[in-house]
Amino acid sequence: MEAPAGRDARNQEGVPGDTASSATGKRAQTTLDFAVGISIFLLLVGFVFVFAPGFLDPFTTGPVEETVAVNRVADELTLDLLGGPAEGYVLEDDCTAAFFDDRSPGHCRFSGATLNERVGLAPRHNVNVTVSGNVTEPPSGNRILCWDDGADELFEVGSGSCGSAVTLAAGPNPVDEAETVTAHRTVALDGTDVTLEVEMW
Amino acid sequence: MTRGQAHTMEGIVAGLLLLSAMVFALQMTAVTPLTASTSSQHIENQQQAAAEGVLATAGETGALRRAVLYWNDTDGAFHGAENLSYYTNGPPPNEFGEILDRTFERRGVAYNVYVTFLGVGDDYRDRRMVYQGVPSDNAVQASYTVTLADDASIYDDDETKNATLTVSNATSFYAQDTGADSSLFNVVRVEVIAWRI
Repeated sequence: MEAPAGRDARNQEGVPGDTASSATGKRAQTTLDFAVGISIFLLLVGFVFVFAPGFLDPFTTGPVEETVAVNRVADELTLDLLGGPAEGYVLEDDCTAAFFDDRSPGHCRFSGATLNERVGLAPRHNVNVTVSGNVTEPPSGNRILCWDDGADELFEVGSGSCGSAVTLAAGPNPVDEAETVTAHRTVALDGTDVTLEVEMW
Repeated sequence: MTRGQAHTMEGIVAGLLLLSAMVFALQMTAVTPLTASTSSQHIENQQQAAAEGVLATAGETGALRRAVLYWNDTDGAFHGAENLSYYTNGPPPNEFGEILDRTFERRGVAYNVYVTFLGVGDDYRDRRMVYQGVPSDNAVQASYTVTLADDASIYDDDETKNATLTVSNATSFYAQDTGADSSLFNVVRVEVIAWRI
C-alpha cells in the first residue's frame, strides 16, 4: 500500500521538486526520505496493534464470575456450612450427609430447598459438589464416597457397601462442552482426610 | 541540504514513542505472559486452602501430633530421615505423610514442612521436617499449633506410643522444656509452604 503511494507522490511532486532542488540545491532527497520515514512509522503502528491485545489475553479469557464464586462456595462449605466457624476444614458427619441427601435440618448451618439455595448461588449457575477419598486398605485411589448413617461409616462408591447410604455428590454432571472451574479442599470427615471438590460452569 | 533525512528521523522518533508507550503500559499489569511465573491467583488460592486443610485435618485426626513426636531418640532425627535429619525424597512414613502425599504429591505440588518451637532464651528456632527445595515467589504458607505437655510420649516408627520415652526424658528431642515449673513442655508450630513446580 505504502510503496505505490510513495511512488505516486514522487511522480506528482517530483518534477517541480527536482526543478526546485536543481534551482536552489536545498531539498536533497525529500520524497525518498518521506517514504522511508512513513514506512517505519506505519510498520511500528502495525506491530503495536498486532501485539498489544495479546498482552491482555490472560485477563480477558475464562469464566471470571465462576472462578470467584467457586472459591467462595468451597470456602463457605468447608469453613462454615458443613462444619462450623470454630473448627475450619473439619466437617460434621450428620450435617454433611443431610446436605448431600437434599435436606436442610434445623441444627445444621445451611438452609434452603435446593443445592443452589444452600450455597447461595443464583438458579442460573450450575454447580456440582462431591466428596471423594480413600477409605479402603490397601489404597485404591480417590473415589466418591457415601455415608452410611446406620453404621456411622464412610464407604467408597463401587465397593458394594453403599446400598441405601447417601452418596456424597450433589448437583448435575457438567455437560461436555462447558468450560468448568474447579476448587479443591482437603477436609476431615469421620476421622479421615477427604477431598471436597466444587465444580461450576 | 538543510533538510537531509528529517522525515526518516521523525518516523523513527514517532516509532520509539509508540514502543515506549506500550512498554510503559505493560509495566502497569502485574502478571503478563512474559512474567517469569507459572502461577495464577486461582491456583494460589487452591494451594493456600489445601495447605490449611491438610494441617487442620491432620490436627483433627491426631496425625499432626504423632508426626511432631515421630522421633528416633537414638539417632536424633525423625524416623526414616536419619541421614539428613529431615525428609527430602517423599513424605514422612506416617499418616501425616499420607495426607501430604494425597493432597500435594499427586498433584505435582512441592512443599516444605517446618517445625517452629521456642528455644532456649526466648528465641524461636525452626527445624525442617520435609525439605524439597527453595520455594518459588508464588509459594503459599499455612501453619497450625500443637501443644506438648511434659508427659507427651515419643512415637515409635510404627506410629505407636513408646512405653517409656517421653519428651521430657528423651535425650535428643529437638525442642526444650520451656516451662520448667509447669506441666507445659513446649508449643510447636507446624508450617507448610507449598508451591507449584
